[in-house]
Amino acid sequence: MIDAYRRFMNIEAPPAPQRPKGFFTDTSLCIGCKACEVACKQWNQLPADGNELSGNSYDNTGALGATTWRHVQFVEQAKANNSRVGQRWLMMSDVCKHCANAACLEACPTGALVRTEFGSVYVQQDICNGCGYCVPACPFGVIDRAPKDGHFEAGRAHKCTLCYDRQKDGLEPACAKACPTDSIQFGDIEELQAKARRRLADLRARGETSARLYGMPESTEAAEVGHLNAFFLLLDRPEVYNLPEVPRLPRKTMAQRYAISAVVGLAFAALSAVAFGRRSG
Amino acid sequence: MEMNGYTVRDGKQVADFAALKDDGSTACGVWIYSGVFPGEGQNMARRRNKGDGWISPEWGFAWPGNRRMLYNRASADPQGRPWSERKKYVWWDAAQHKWTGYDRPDFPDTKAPDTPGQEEGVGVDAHSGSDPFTLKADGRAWLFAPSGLKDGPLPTHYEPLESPVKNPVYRRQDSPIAKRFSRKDNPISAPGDPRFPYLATTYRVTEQYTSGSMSRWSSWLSELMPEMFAEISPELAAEKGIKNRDWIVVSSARGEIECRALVTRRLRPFQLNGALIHEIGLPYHWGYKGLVKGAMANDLVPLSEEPNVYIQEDKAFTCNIRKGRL
Amino acid sequence: MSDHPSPRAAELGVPAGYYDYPVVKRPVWTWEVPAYFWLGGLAGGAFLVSSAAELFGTDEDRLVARDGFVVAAAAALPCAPLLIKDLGNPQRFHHMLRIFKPLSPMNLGAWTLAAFTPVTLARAAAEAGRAGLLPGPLAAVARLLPRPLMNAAGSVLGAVLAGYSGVLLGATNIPLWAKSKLLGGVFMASAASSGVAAVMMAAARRRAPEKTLHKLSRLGTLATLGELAVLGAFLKQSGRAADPLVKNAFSVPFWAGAVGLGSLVPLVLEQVAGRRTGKFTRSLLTVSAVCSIAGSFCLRWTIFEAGKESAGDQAASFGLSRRTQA
Repeated sequence: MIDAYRRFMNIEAPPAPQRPKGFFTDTSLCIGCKACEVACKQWNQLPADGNELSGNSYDNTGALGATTWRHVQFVEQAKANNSRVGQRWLMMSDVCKHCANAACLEACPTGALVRTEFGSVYVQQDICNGCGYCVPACPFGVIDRAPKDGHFEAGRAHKCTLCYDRQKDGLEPACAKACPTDSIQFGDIEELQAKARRRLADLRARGETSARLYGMPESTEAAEVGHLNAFFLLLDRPEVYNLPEVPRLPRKTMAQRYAISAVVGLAFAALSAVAFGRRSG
Repeated sequence: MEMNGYTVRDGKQVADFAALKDDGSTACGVWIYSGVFPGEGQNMARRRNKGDGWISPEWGFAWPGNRRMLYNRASADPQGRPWSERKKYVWWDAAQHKWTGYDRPDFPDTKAPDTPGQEEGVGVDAHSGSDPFTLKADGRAWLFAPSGLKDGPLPTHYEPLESPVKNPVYRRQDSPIAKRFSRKDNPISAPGDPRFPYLATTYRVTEQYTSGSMSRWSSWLSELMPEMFAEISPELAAEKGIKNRDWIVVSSARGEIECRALVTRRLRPFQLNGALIHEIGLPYHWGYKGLVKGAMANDLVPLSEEPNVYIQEDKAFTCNIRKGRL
Repeated sequence: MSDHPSPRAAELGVPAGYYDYPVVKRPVWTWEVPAYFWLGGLAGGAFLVSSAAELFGTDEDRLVARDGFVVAAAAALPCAPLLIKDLGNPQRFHHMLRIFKPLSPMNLGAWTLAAFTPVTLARAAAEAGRAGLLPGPLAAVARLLPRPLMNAAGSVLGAVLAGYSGVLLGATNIPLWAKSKLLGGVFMASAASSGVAAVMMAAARRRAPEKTLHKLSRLGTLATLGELAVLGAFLKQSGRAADPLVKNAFSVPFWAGAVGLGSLVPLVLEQVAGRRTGKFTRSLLTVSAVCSIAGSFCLRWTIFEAGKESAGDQAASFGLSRRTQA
């Protein structure tokens, strides 16, 4: 019966899960060349967002968005008093984190957002109806809806696909392929995590004591959203890179919110019953 | 086939450039591509054999003569043994009396390391078996060039043609043999000229390519570096009342341009002879056409030429800035 | 990694955060969404009040309930079109119902609305049939509809519709919406007060008995007081995340519209009306109801728009995600 329905509706079984793949972005190796940003836009044929000088170091694209799926930050860090002591220029290629517990995926009412066989979070463009709920759900401000009146895939949600099409063909994502310093590494997530731990130990041993990993299974930031399939080696506190200290998963408080709403609703129902009770008035 | 080269008599393709003759019996369009079509129906550039090693000599074609690395004889010591086991590349095989290795040796195949150079020899015959740099007259690389240059041979310090300071090393301020173009529209301001108290330098950013005449037509590159700007230090910005992204005018003895100010602590004022000298950084990628347009830093630079290779002096000249637009 | 101090930014004495870029994305929704939340809440509240009046009330109260069901249906009718209009791809609105996924409040709401709208329409049709407003065969069908069952189903669905919208906004990472867990309660209370007001307005205009009007007025007063209490707690818990609502961009429409017009004015008018009778009372209560309904929209709209503003507040986002107060 179910099989007949599946055949009738042309429903295919989802591909069997494979070993999860992801990105390890080592910001200590990033040179800010933005090759990842361009390679991503070229492979995915994303339009440019506009031509305006931001004045914020060499970052003129600002943030991730519907048509910017890799974005390189340029943090100019120096003492506020113009002394050049301890000054440094941090570069970081940001991307969708492909969270183990993805807020966007949970919020999606249509099932357009799915977990792929590679462990990544993917927007099915033929399903998304542009409800926009994934946009405020994401704790990292990654996913966005293309403008309804725009020329690019108007009114639907977009973000990094972890180059699902390239992975299908056994290729690594375009950004990792283009990265000249291996700041962006693509691979089996467990192997990358092991590699990251070694790299962190190495950097700490060399005196880079402010280095830390962001998005590992054991990190505090994994408390709600789980480990990140695109995780980072950072050289300062996450907030320096606009990353939340403990990214929130909306689902975690949802039962309480419903309960509070229900209590108010029941109280009102009770008041109504009393108000119209035959003896009242 | 014209590029690969052929024997004139029968029109047969030559195997590689070593088969080319200077007596008119062979013809070749460009010798470095000789060997890419070594025979009828053969195209070395189409080969796709990865092989076992890390050189993959049978993958495509590399000029000249499918060498992946030029002068690779230098990877072996004068006796023909690899300098390092880890980096071994080509070496002398005494048993077979020939050069061998992972790559095609860039050296006469059977010239033993102990072969003496022929004093009257022509071309590579003049080189000994331990002279790897086959395109050089003496077969050797030079760290020090005693002849052939218009200046030198010993290095010295001259100030740029335009400098905010006097040469602290010699009485001679600037290069005596730099080519100058003394014209009304190409004046050079004198050291310490109060009209142009700041140092300017021009440079590239990664996102645009040279003058930008190609990259400014790519929307993906243009959005990354969309406008001409001048980088200035917070100290100079405060002195001039300039805020980040304000319009400013940068002027030199030859012209003036307008652009945005990018205030950054990456620019540090110099302490020169006890004076604080500010530096202005100018990328030179913009022009009057393209998806993004902007002023040209080259409008400010002095026209001059370095005496050997005729590169103009863009990296240091003097300028002034003010808040506002042209 | 949590115990590892990462003191660089702190050492340098510079604040965290990447320039002034927001941490989270600004919601893309427009006015249709608060308008839908407002009407959906009003419809749910009105249906619930009408059901209570029919179940527990006197015969006079039941007459009022009839009008209430029609009001609920009228308010529910535009909800789906508003929701659909706000979609990025409205022609795909039915994709909301291709799966049942209560984990997503948006999906739950879509199903609730899809069920509630026909129930209210049927319930209103039943009343229309009873009032002889339908042609013969339709009236016969309408009489067959199980009213108590519809009342029960509609009350539950209406309550869900009234309350889920606050949970939907709360289950995000927008500081104003998410910081306090009470937003669902605020919207539910506002739905209650505006629902009562809508029924009261219809009753006052339809010359309902004064006894029933006073019951509605008292219930409205209690609902408004409850709303103020939950709103106060919500604002207190929200702290600085509520700045765009109480201090900055939307403070005037919030204090004057949502609180003043929507709660304080009706409270005063209902107190005055409670001691009087006659035509004046009806006018007072009509005005009170209109104010309450308008205020209810102001509340949804200001919290919605101020929430969008708070998405741009980097520090508020950091505050939301910090385990310890920095």
